[in-house]
Parts: sequence; C-alpha cells; structure tokens
Amino acid sequence: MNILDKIHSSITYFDGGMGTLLQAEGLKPGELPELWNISRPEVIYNIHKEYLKAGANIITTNTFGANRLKFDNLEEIISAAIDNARKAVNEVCGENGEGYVAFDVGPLGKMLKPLGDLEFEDAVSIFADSIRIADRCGADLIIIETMNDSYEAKAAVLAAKENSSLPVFATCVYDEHAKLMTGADPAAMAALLEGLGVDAIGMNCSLGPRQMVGIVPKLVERSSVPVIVNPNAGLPKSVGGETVYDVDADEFSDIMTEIVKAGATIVGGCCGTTPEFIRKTVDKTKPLPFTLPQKKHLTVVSSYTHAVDIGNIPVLIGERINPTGKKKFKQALRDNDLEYILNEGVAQQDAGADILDVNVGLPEIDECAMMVRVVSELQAVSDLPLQLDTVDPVAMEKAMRVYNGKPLVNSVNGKPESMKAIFPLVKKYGGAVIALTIGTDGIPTTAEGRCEIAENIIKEAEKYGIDRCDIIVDPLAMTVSSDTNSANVTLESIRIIEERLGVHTSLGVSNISFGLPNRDFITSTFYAIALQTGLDCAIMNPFSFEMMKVYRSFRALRNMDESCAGYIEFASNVTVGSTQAVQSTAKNDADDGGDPLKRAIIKGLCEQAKATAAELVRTSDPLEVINERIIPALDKVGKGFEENTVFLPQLLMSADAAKAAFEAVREALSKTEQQSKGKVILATVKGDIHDIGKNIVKVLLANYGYDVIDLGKDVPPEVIRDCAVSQDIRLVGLSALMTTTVPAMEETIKLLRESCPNTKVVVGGAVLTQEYADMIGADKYAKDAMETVRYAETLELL
Amino acid sequence: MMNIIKGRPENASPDLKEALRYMGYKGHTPDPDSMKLIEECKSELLKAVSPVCCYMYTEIRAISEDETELVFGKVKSRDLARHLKGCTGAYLFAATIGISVDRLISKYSRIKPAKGVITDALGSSSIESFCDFAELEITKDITQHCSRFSAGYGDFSLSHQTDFMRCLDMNRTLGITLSDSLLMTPTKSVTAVIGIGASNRTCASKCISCPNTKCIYRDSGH
Repeated sequence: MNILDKIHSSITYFDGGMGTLLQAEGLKPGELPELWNISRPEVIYNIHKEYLKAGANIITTNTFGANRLKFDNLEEIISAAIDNARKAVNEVCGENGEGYVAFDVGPLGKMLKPLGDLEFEDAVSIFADSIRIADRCGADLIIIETMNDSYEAKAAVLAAKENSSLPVFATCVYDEHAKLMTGADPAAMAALLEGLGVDAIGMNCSLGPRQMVGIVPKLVERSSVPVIVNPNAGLPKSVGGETVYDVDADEFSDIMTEIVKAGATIVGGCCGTTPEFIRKTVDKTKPLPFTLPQKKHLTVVSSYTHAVDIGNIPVLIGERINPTGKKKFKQALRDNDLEYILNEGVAQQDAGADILDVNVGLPEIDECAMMVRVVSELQAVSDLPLQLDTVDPVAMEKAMRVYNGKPLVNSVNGKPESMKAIFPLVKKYGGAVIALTIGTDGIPTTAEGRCEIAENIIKEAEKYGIDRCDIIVDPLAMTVSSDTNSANVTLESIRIIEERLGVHTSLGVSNISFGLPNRDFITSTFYAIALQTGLDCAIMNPFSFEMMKVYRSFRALRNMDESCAGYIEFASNVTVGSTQAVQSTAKNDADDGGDPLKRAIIKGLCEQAKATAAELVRTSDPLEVINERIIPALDKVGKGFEENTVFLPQLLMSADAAKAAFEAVREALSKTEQQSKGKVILATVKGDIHDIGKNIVKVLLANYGYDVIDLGKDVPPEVIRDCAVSQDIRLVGLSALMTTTVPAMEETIKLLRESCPNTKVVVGGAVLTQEYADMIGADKYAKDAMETVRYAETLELL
Repeated sequence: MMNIIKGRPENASPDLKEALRYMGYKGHTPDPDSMKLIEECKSELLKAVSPVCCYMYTEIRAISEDETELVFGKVKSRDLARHLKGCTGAYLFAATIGISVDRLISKYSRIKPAKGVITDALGSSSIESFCDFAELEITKDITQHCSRFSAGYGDFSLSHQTDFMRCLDMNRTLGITLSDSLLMTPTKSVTAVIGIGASNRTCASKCISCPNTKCIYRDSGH
C-alpha cells in the first residue's frame, strides 16, 4: 500500500523525537546531529528501528537541518540518512510492509525578505537542492515540519512540488494562541497549504498534547486533507537544575486519544517523546474509529495571518490600488513611488476593506517587476489578503509565487486562451479566481447567457482539478446609462448563477453608474439590491461614504453584525454635513507669527496642514505658500533639531505635515514651478537590513524638494552603481547600522568612484563616525538627516 | 538541557527614559504632542510583543587573560574573559520580543516615519526590559552571578552568534534567525553570557565597552 492509500484508510503513526535520544547517546550541544548519519549510522538506525517496533508507520530521516547553508556534503548526508531509515524499515516491516521513509525538511534558520535577508527564490532553491537528492535516494514522502513562518513553508512546499512527485506533508508550529510565530492561524495555513496541493497538514513541536487539544479542531474544521498532530512531551520545566518535559508516556497517550477523537488521523511525537510514547499512543488510539476530515468546499483566500471566507458575510474588496483614471497614481508608478500605494493600502484597510485589489498595469512600466514589488511591500504594511489583478499571465504567475498566502486571482474569463493561461497557475499556486462571464462572442445580454458561460468556466476548471468552490463568478455590472435594463440583467445573473451553479459571486459595482452625475447615489443603491440578491463580494471604493453606509446598514439589518456593533462604530463617528472639526484645534502660539499653516507644520498636524494649505492656494500664489510659509516652518523645525530644542519624533511629524501641505499646494502649481532640486539615491548597504535611518533622510530630502530614488535595504554595491550611472546621479546617500556592514559601504564607494567619479557620497548610520567616513573614502559624514539635507543644499545636483 | 521562560507583555514594558535616549532626546522632555504619539506607539507595541527566552548552563572549562572555553569551544575575547573572571560556569542566554514588533516597525517606517522611529526605540528598550526580567528570574537562587554580556560587546566577536544559534537551537525554540551579516531577526532579540560564581558588573551598560565614544545614543552616564 502506498503512503497516500495508507493515510486514507487508517490511523497512521509518525515516530517521535530524535534529538533527545541522540543527546542520550552523547550528542553535544551545538553538534550537528545530521553528521551522525555518517559517523554513527548504527545509532540512527537503531532509533528508527525502535520507533517502528513501537508501531510507527512513518519514520522521519535525521535530516532536519540538512541543507546547503549548513553542509557542503549534502548528497552524502541525505543518502546516508535515507539508507539508515530504509534499512530499519526493511528489517522491521519487510520490503512491502506498512513502513515509510519520510524525508525530513526543517526550517532554514533564516528569515525571508522583507523581514529578513533571504530571497524567496533562494529559499526555494535551497530546499530544492535537498529535495532532489531525497527524491533520487528513494524517500517515500516529504515531511516539511516545524515551520514557524507561512512564507518559508510555502517556499519549501513549492520546492517539493517542483522537484519531486512524492507526497508532501507539512506541519507548522503553533503557539498557545493557535498562531504561528509570524502570525498565521490554522485557517490561513489550511488555505495556503491545501491551495499548494499538500497531502496532509498539521502541527508539531513547541507545545505538548494538552495545549494542542484545543487547536486541533480549529485545523480539522478547515482542512479537507488528513490532519497530522506531533506534539512535544509536554512543556519543558526545570527540576533540580535539569530540564525535563512535563508529560510522561501514559499521560501523553491518554491525551492523544482525545486528539484522535478531535479529528487527527496521523499522529506521533516531537521533542522529548520516545518509542514508549509512540507505543502507548498506538495501543490506545488504534481501536478508535477512523474518520477523515470531510471535504469542506470553502471559498477562501488568505494572508500571512488570517483567512477571509467568501459566502457568508459580504466581502469588501478595495479597488483603490489601480491607476485607471488616477493621475497621481500613474505618476507614483512612473516614479517608483511605493509610499503612495502603500498608504492607499493601509487607508483602505482602516476604512474596512477585507481584501485589497492590486493593479499596477501601465503601458510604460515593467508591470511584472512592479507587481512583485508592490505585492511584497504591501504585505509588509497590511495583513489583508490581496486580489492580484493583471491581464499579463507572466506578471500573474510571478505575483502568485511571491504572495504570502492564498490569493484571489483577478481574473479568468470564458475564452479558451484565458482559461488555458490562468487555470494551471491556480492549480499550482492555489487561489480563488474571479471568473468574468465573457465568452468568445463577448458579454451576453441575457442572464441565461452569462450563466452558461459561468458553467463552461466551472467545467473547464474541473478538468484542471480546480474545485468550483475556488471559482467566484463576476456576471459584470454594465453601465445603466447606456442600457437601462443592464442592472436587471446583472442582478438576475447573480440569482441564477448562485442558484443553479452553487458558486459565489463578485461584482465591480461602480461600473453601473458610469456617465451619470453623483455616481455614488446609483452605485450604492445598486449595491444594496445586489447584496439582497445574494452578491458575495464587491470590488468597490471603501472611502465612499454612501457605499459604506449601505454595507454597514445591510449587515446590521440582515443579522450579520452582532449587537449592531460594527454599525454603531461606523455611524457614531459620522457627523453628517460637517468638516469643520479640522479647523477648530488651532490655537495661537507665540513662535509661528500667527500663521495657522506654519503652526500646523511645526506642531506636526497633518490634516490641519493639508486643509489650511488647500484653503490658502485658493487665494494666494502657490509658490508663495511654499516659500513664505511651508519652507520657513520646516526650516524652523530643522533648526530646532540642530540646536537640540526639537527632537527626532517631532521633526518627522512636522515633515509629514509639511508633506501633506505640499500635496495640497502642488496641484495648483504649473509644471515648471514643480521642478525638483535634483535626484538623490538612498540605500542601506548590502548585508544591513535596518532602514529606519535611511527612511528618515528620505522623508526630509523629499520635503526639501529632492527626488529620492530609494533602493531599499540590503542593496548590493553593483545595484547602487548601476542606478547611479543610468540615472546620472550626483549624490548618493548610504546608510549602515552595523560595524559588520561598513565594508560593504566601502565597496560601494569604490565602485561609484570607478564608474561615476563626479558623484558625491554622503554616509550615515549609528556606528559611523567622521573617522570611519574618511577611512572608507566618503565625501561627507552626516550625523543626522538634517545634516544630509544641508549637505545636499551645498551641491549642484541638476 | 535547555529552559524556556515565556514572559507576559508587561515583563517587556519599555523604560521610557531609555527609549527617549534612543530617540535622541539627550535628557530633554518631549513636547506634549510627541509624548502623545509616544504613548500611542507604546500601547501598540505592548499589544505586539510576545517575549520569550531560553537558556542553558555551560561550565567554563578554562579561562585565561584573553580566552574563555565554553561548551561550544574557545572564545577569543579579552573583554569576555575579564567579565567572566572568577566564574565557574555561565548561562548561555537568548531572548526575543517577537517578529510582530518587526512588522510594526517596518509598517510605520514606510508610511509614518515618526511612529517608525518611536516604535523602534521603544522596541529596543522593551527587549532590554525583558532581558532584565529574565535575568532576575534565572539568577534568583544564585548568590554570585555577573550581569549579561553579549556577542558584539567590546571584542567579543559577533561571529559567535552562530554558536548561540546552534547551542540554544534558537530557531526552533525562539524563532530567531541569523542573516548573512550575523544580525538576528526578529531584530529585537538578544544573546548573552551570564557568568556564575563571581559577581562582576563591569558592564552594567553596554555603552561603556563600545569604542564609538561619539555615538549619539551613548548613555550620558558614560
């Protein structure tokens, strides 16, 4: 019987801990246990044998840390490890018995970007190296275990799927709050791992069985595949200076019966457990009924923290990250200015969006690269699931690959070429997909026609092994001003598609009102009717008060808002017809000459600065507002900073307020008046992942009218050089926080000197000093952000 | 064998004075608007922290003027040897307040730099507070012990982070990872040696052993 048949026909047992047993045999703290596969094979073989005799069906190879980051002789270690396990299986179970060798894959010990320094694709490649060897050496399955981070788990699973056809199991480490170290809950992990096609999912390590009992149902109720539970022998505690785990084999096996009753069908142990733990667990749980998790048919997407279910409460998909019709957004894309986009993301989340649509398509930019960057950066500021919105299948694949979670894919349609491009991606990476009812002959004018296309899409998806629960049909809202029956057709489509096909629906609702005045009136009313008809998701503007009014009221009215709490929170913050609150807080202060704009900037009040500036440009010359008010206010704060009367937080608050004021004024400026003072590159050097200091400098330089090209953190010297050359840059700012990364700074300066001798280099960062700066050949050491600005002002950068 | 202490958020409550020093206040008091923001960041930070530490005992096998032999091998460091002088053993110690703090800092440093700077400073103070708490817990029954001494202090090379990682199995027990340049993520993490058998306190503040005497963050007491 192969392992997949086995796990689908009876309770299956994993082995227990390896580390504790090796320590008992003399493994020293810090010694690499994987080396024992070669140096002490008999010890490893015996441990495997003991577990098999105790009743384990699956033994895990002694390869937890076997990856190329730690070992040069990977092939030798992995093949020895699999040999040791195979020999034990053959001896105890016979060659065709129910004993299986699981190639064990543990975490890499490095954090993936953006939080750490490891590229996602590098992680995939490191896992892939080990998995290819294991596949060649004849493992029966791959167990990816002790995963603390959903993103790393995704990298490992992708590597397994791309480099082997073996079954893949994956278990993660949950804490007592049922969260991974990086934040994911069981529902999010189930969505991600099942989407990637993992054969069994579960949890191991960190907790004992008692703490896991409560977490098991949370996974079982979300999982359609068998659930694995491999706890530690309780929690470690200190007894007379010795650390022991606090659960013995009897208690462990007792609780494991509860865990099996809660729905786990693959069980074993982790740290501190021994063959005795497994033997007793087998004895007590074998007689229990075997019940696999039911197929859940959930329509779900996820982020690195949580899952969003589609089909219960209406889901809001924020539409604002899309350049269509937005001048500022387009400019931000051309300027590589992600800050604007990130702010849109966070603001939509604050406004109540559940999912963020991400569309960065613009003919003149590299959409693929931009999509990857925006997805990765957005996931650093928002934990909402993303809807990846692009018509370019290459960009779609790249985005689905780097996305940390199970994405919503926007979109596929009824044309064969569209389905051929998108469905393989959905199958491989996992995802729910928006299906537009557009066929080869366009959009049918009847609900019947649209339903037929939806049905074809679902049938075609099934051929790829994609369940209909991952198809969300968008029957298309068409402009009512050009066809007054169009809303009726769309609404009828929603009704029959849900009724006949049993799938969920989504609409880009705002199309309905195109070409009409006060569009929100129509859109929000249409939205209300659509919700009542059964619409599950709306791609809409969460900043639209009218839309949010409908959404909040609908939920309260349809018993989808406990105690009307959501509605009350929303409605009690609304003062109908008043925007005066902003003005009232300004009081006279001695040092601003009675100028409310200056005062707002000095005090760091963003909203007020923006409102006041917007008001001023109606009656005054915008350049005058900048030169007579904003700049002097900024200077005052900057000077205070230099004189130690203003401190960093206040400086930055003022910078933010000045920025808000600039934005309000800029719209009134002509092109020539907007001219920048020149371009400056900023980067944290290779090896350094600290970017706070660099970000502060960026904010201030931007405030003073410079175009900042922010290359980010951990930037290789060549990237900085290439950018300086291609953009003809006269000033480069480099930041480093650690003494260990100062050499990377020196290397960067060397490259810059060779390729662009006229470019000045200013350096800064906590460990830098004038001496260091001189030593590595920088033009300027700036002790803080203001000094960088002052230095830039002395240079001719245009 | 290893021990683990899981702390509560209040065990990692930042020391405001210390955090203000990291923000560059140099003994000055923040204006009320900044203070409000700092308080706001502090309460967000305390919601994000999940303090945890682990430690194990190691005998000090040999100690000379510039070398100490611990469980993982020899450490060439005059400063560490001086700090552990007279000790018979030591605890290897690692602690973190978790990756959610990194997320918070990285979010704000992208969209609201003032809050980014404040949260970063508060986070640095928060991990120190938790280390103080944990150090007290660990040494409560030990009469003679030294203050903690970290890789990176003085001439105790940062390269020993890899030894801490391995011995304490820090990735598995605490979720701590090491970058190529030996920086830990979560960034608000600490490793240290706590000597036992003597009570040297030469390094109550890490500033004193740092060669960068002009550092703007330097504790003014030193």
